[in-house]
Amino acid sequence: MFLNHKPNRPATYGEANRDIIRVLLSPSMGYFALLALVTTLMIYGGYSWYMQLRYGLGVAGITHPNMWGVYIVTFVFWVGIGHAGTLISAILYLVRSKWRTGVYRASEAMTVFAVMTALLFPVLHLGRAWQMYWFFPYPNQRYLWVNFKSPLMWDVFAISTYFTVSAVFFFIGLVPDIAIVRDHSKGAIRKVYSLLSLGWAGTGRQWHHYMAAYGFFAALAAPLVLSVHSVVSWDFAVAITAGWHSTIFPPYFVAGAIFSGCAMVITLLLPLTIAFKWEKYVNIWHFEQLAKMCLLTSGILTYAYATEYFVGWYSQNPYEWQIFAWRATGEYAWAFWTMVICNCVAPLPWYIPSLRRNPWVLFIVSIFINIGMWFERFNIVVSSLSHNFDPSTWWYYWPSEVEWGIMIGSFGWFGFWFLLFLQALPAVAIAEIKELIAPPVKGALEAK
Amino acid sequence: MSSYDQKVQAAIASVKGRSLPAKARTLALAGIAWGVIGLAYGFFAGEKSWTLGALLVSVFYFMCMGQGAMMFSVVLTGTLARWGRPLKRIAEMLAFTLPVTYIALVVFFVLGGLGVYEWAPHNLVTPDGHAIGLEPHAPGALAAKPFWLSSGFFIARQLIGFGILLVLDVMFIRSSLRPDLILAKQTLGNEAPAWWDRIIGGKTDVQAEAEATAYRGQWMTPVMGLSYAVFFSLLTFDLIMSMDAWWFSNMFGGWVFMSSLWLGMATIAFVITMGREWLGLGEWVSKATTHDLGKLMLAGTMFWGYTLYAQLLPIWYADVPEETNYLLVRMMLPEWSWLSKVVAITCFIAPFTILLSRGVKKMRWPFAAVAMLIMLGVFLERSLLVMPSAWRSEFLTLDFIIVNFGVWFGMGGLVTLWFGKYMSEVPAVPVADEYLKDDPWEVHVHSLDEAHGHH
Repeated sequence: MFLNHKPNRPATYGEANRDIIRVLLSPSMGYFALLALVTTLMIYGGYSWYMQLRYGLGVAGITHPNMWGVYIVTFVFWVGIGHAGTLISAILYLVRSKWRTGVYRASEAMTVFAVMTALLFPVLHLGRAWQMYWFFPYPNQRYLWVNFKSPLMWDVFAISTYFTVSAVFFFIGLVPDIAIVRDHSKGAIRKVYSLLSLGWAGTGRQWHHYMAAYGFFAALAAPLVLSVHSVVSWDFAVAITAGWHSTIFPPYFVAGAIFSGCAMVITLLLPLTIAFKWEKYVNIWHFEQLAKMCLLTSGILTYAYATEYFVGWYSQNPYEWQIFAWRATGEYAWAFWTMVICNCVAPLPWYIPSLRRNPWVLFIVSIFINIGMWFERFNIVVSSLSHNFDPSTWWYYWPSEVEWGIMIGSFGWFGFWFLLFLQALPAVAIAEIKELIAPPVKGALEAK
Repeated sequence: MSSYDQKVQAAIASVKGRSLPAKARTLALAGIAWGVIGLAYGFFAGEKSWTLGALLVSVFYFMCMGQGAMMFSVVLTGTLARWGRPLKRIAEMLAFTLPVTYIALVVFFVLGGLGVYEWAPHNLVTPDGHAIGLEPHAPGALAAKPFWLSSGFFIARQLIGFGILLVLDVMFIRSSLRPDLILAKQTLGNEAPAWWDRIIGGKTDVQAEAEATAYRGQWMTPVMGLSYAVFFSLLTFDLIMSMDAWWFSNMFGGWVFMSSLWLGMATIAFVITMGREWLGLGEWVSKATTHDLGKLMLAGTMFWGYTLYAQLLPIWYADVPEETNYLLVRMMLPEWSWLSKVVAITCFIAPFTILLSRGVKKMRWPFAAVAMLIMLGVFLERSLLVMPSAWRSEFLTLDFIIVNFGVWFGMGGLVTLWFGKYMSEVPAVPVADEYLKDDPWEVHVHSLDEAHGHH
């Protein structure tokens, strides 16, 4: 049934409730093993951060001219991962795309946790993390005020707005489902779900207001999908650094973010679907749509890479052209070609229907894309700074052990929250799944 | 016969004796007359560079419109969309006007169109590759690319690039038409236009051909999308961006090809509102359809603004003279700054504000008006891109009215007559297309009514 390339449906509302709720609060040994793994990674990341706090930012490999390194690379990577959830939940909701139903809840959760992970990095990158409140404008007796002309400040506002809206949107979507879980639970845990369900009773009046609010939130969240990564791209594009100063960056970054986010949804949800036997709700048809989304965005990225090279040559600007030539042939060529192979070549097998319907091919290619998108950011951030205008400053940046540790720890942090979510909240949207089933009107099913 | 089959038969039967309405024909002929007068005035009494610039604007505009409409059909096919399927044939027939535009492009070159390009060999690039007399950074930039910006290679690139797109478009349209024409031929018999037989090619099995078309559509969609992105970007970089040979923007190609899709949608909206009776669309194009199309046009408006801003902000922030120069001429010089304000209103502020209204998207004439506003806005926007580069002097108001609008209306008239002829001779909706029917997966309340025996 999982291999069907048409959408499946459960037969009744009750079946949908039971299938999705049964995995909650019943962790298996495999779950604990995964939780132990991600916790270990998180502790390693925490230890690395402790070392940085104790000995100062100097233990990170970033120094002149590479004042941005793996922290910014990983920050952009996680912001990118955080894109697919809102795209799938808000934009596909607005265009009434049916395939979102099975996958949007897990994608939204991924978004919220990815943005939570991304938000760590500006703090980590500060060195003196306790001064992070300087990011925010607030009246104070020393008349300190943030520099609104700095794109880094735009980031603070764009990403915190995105996080707020995504988290609220995620929670609003959950309310009817939490009420279902509440109705199927007992004891103290029922009280927790009662509190979270905000008194949801599923009355016609509640649904009326709920749907209106959900539509408004979707409309509010949709432009944020474009805005947040556009603002991140302007961190680079507004500078005159060769290889960064590019007008195509905003849509190119947004497309890249959707690409990596959809690939991450495949990476996370494919094993879960098989492990939890959710084939009536999420099957190969949904993954095929995600793969198609990746193919589209991979095409946009390939177009953007090619355009940068073409215009770099066309401009005859020596600084512009040298950085593009150096990326492909210099010391970081391995990173450049990893990016090209993972982002432009690896998804190509998905053009063949039988391959994009094969779970192994889906999973393996999605891993390639995740790797490729991390290297894309590495390629942009590191190479341009290593090879800037002044040849006397050229050098080869390589991340320190502390930077690697923090980066690995960020995956642990993300995985930790995602695993907790899987056990605490329905990872498939029960209420929306029911919209695909004929309502249980007395006599209707019998008459059919 | 089901009610759906009756609608299909009515759509087929309406082909008999259909032709472009007399009013539209008269307006098209008047436009052509204005165009001829405008061109004659421009070449013999006005300024040649200005006139060639005006011709380039219109050629490029209709290239964008036709190719944008084609991509709308490609997107509908690739996404298996049902909502817009009744608009597919109109989009394809708008794209089928591209041969007219191709000929107009050839005419542009024959009339000396290269004269509007500063790099063209009117002694700005010396035979040994050294450029002279151009503005910031141009000499160095031009001297290094004499082959890319050489007349022969330039013209060949445009004709080949546009030609490849044209061939793909015709293949796609032909494939899309075939099952519909086979089905329609079964009803119309000898009353069907003779040219249908060239497309039908003796085939009679509608079902088999519809499946073959659906299969072809699935593999042609990415090919056409990729070709559109690559070749249309190249055409844009060449025909428009290279007019200021020192200036470059990575986003320029993407910005133009996405706004062309938006222009294509606006033109489709214009046709379905103005030609509702002519094409018998009342049964197919509901308020929900125009509402959905309007939402996409709103998205197009926002995307136009977004991609424009994506170019403006880094250029403004970095403040590099070789980049700002292009914008300063258009946004700060009094000769052109008024036009940039008009473009901001017609392309973004007005359509964005108006299209927020749900009612406008569902009302026939207001919706037609906003479609026309976008069409006008894109024409003015293309004019703003081209004219300050073609004519580096004061704004010629009279020439703008007589020549620029004349050529636009003239080409519009030609395109209308061509579109009117072929659109009249085919079913206005893709009658054999499975996706014209309702979605079998949709859960409707009426299905419960039927289960209860209520109708």
